[in-house]
Amino acid sequence: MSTVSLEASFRQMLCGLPAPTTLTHVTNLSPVPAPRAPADHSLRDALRAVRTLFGDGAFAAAQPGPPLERLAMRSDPPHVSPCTLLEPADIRAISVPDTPLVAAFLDGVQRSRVLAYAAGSPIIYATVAAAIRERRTRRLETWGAPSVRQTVFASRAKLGEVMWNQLVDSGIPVVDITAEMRSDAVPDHPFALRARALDLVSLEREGLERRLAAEWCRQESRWLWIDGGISGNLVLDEQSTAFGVVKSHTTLYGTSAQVMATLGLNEGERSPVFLVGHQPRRAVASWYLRLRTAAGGDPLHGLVRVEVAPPTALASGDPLPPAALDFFTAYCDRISAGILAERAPLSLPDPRWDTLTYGIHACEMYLDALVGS
Amino acid sequence: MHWLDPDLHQDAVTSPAAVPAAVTADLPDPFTLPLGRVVATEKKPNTPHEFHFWTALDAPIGIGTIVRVEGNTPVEAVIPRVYGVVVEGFSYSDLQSPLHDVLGHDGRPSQGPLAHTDRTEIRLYTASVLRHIPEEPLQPVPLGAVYLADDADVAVALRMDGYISGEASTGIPVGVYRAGGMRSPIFLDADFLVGPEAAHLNISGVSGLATKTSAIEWLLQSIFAHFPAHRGSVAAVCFNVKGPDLCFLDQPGKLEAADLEMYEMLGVPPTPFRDVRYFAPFTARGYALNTLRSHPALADSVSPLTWGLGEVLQFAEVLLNKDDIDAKADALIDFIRERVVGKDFEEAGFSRTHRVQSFADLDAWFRDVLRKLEDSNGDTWRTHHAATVRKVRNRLSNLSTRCAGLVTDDGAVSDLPFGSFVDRAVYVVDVANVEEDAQDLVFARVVSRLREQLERRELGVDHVIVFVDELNKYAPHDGPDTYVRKMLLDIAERGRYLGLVLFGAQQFRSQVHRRVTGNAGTALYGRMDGDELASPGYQVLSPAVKARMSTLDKGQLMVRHPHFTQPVFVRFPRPAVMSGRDGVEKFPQAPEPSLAQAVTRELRRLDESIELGWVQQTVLLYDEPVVIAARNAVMRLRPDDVKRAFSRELAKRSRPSASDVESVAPRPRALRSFSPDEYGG
Repeated sequence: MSTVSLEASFRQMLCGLPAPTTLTHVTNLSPVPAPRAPADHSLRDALRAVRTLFGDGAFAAAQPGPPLERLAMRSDPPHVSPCTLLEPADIRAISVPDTPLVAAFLDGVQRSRVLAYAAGSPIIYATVAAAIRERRTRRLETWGAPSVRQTVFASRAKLGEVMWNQLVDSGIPVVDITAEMRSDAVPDHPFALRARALDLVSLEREGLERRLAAEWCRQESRWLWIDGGISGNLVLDEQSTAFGVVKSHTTLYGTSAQVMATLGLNEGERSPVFLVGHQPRRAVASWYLRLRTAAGGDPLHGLVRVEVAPPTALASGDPLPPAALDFFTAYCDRISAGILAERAPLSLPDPRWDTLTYGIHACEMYLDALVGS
Repeated sequence: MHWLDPDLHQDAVTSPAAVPAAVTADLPDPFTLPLGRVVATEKKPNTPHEFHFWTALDAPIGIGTIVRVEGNTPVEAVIPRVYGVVVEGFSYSDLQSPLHDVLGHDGRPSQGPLAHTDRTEIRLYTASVLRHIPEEPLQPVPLGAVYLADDADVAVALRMDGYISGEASTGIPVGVYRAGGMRSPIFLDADFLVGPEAAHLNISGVSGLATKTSAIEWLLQSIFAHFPAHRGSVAAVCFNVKGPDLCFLDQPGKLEAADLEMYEMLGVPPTPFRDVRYFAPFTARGYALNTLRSHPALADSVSPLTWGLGEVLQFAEVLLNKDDIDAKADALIDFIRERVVGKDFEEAGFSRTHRVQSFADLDAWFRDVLRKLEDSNGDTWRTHHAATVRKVRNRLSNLSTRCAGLVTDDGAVSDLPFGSFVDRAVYVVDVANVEEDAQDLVFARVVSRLREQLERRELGVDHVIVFVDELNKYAPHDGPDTYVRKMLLDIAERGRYLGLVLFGAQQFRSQVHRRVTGNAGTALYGRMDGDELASPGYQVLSPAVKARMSTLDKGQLMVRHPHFTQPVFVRFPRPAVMSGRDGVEKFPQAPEPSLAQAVTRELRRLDESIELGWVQQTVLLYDEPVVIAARNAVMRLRPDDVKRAFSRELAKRSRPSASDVESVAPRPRALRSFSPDEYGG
């Protein structure tokens, strides 16, 4: 059975639906922004506007420095989380195909800087961007147009209406970082406001990524590798030709025994698929895959977690029928094989080279060139 | 008129006379779409003379490609446009260390994991600026789009627009510049090639590729086809110093379609030289001319080159080294030159009145001088010491032996047609098989005569191009300061005022005197040897340009010309003349003839009725020198009745001369003899 027919059959088994050629779930999403020069609202424009509004004094504490993402990235404490296995608890060895499965890679970046502090609120200038790099004749090129957006984040509650309106009138898109807070819940600590702004910037980036992924799935039937999880992307379903690859393992899924088995995976082996129930995001089917032999005893070296949209049949809470499970297993094996096929070239000197595929690395380089590092 | 005005470009480079219409056909995309973008960083900034740009991996850009940069920001209301030539190229990927690639392949080049993606890679080029438009203010090259230069761009970039159009055009096609499927003709400026603004050309290249000779032949054809009438007439004198290289310039060569296309594009007829005259001395035996162009079908077109005492004595310095010519000897030679040669010389004590016109006469005169010295038992004759007299006699008498075939004992002279040179004619002096001394003598005398006659405007043409191969032998950077080298230096430094132009060739430019190469306004380079490229003279060239020079193929040249601020790589067609190798195959050298055959061949040039049998009968009773002298006399006199004149000359020479009588007549013995040491060996 050919690859295409295997997928079509699988989908039909899972969903009872014919394999569609296009997706209809993205109609409620705004289209991918038209190509836009990154300098539409450049950092220089924003600085100029803020200087006009708040004067030079506001800049004294906010000289250009490293992006906030380097200073204040939030990190949850590592933990183990239980999950529901969808397959028998067997380790599966994956053989690497000669032909690639993946056609394109999607990633996004965000860069935030504090421009000034005014009335106790940080004025943060953020650039978020996302792009898909498509492989054409062995080289990566940008698919469609990259999405780039520049926004200023500030606390309306702190600034007051006059200053807020002046900031809005400057022409730069402004987001209120305390919009959904009660007035008494607005934090007084500037770093708390900054952390809140960073969360919003992340959401903005994820939004761009989701829209691009949706656009890809609407137009293409080839496979897209998304950097990171896909649980927040409601557009992706079991018919989508996209999967997410998570490189960090702050949370390890499974029981103690399952985690030990996962950490003991050899190169080219994957764990059984399990269901990760994100809240408030939706659940995804996931499994671990060892890309490279654990170096120096590091159990997480070369270990990634793959996320795909779970079969719709699981929504009923019943286990998959045996035939559907077999197809699902083959489906996950094929994605795993496609991931293993992307282990070369290495993305060195990036410190995450053991799990960062070159396509995503190239995507990051492209976006860095686009928005600046 | 503004440079952006399209009419200017139209006028400047698409003149039908200058650039054929075929070259300006519809241009492909590389000319309308940018091929690259200028980049500059703090560490690698652009300057007014150099800039950097990147291109796509498949862009038709390489070392030597001419590009155009369109600026973005107007300066004094003009968008700057910069032309440059690529002199260096870089390629690298996003790898920071080669070790990363080793790791990626697990140390096994052939067994690493299969990669479906090629690494991000860059083609980064450095270009040297050819020209800024506008020229002022001179600023660093702006960031902007980079385009492949089209014909108009090439003409402007190389400043050819000033001399290839209009009635006063002085453009001489030197070859075709090729890039991205486009071909542009490249022109030299005749005023800077033949004079008077600059002059001389020097070509370097390794031996064996025939590039140097081919390039000179092609360029002479181009000059003859394009040298403007308002600049006067031009002829060429080529010294064939090795092999058959220049022996078949009047025979058609093999041309391929690509060559014919270039000929058509450059407006040069693909035909051999129409007027070529060959000159060669005789062999040492004197039977036949000493040339590889001795095939019966061609031999008639070669004229003898023979000189007598009068012609040689003026250039005795060429043949006599410093040990030979001290002040005393020089004084005696001057005395002989001024008072003896060609004049009646009478002195008490001499056996007779001498009229010295040949080496034989001179030897008789010397015998009288020495006899008088011995008779008088003295040490000096007219203030010249006896040892000096013997030394000079020894050296001068030796000249005809050293230059046998060129210098004749009997004073016979057959020379280039000085005074009646013809426009667009090539005069080939074949001295390939002649001894080095004789080569030097030929070279010195011919060039000196050309200079003298050009000074007096009596040569017959306004400009003469002298082609000399193996310049590192005749004008070496180090080594003895010979007469030939001094003369070449003189031509290089002052020849352009006279119309005497030196086209020199050599394998190693660094070994040629710097005043010779430095005065060459135009320099051509074929494939170069790596050691030569490592010499200081090539330091101004980038490593990439040197690398390209070391791999140039046949028919490729790097050109430096006063109008070109940077060297340009061009292709030129095969010369439309038969190569030396093909020539000797098609016209193999005739075997050394017998005396009678040689005489018959020569005399038939005057009288076709002369047969070998008649000559054999006629010369049967005469000695070989007599026969050769008689033949030379007849060829010099060119009588109407050749047979009768030849018989008369034979008879005249068979009678013993006065000097012959003297040489055998008994004479008193010297009272005092001289030791060999006193005579200076």
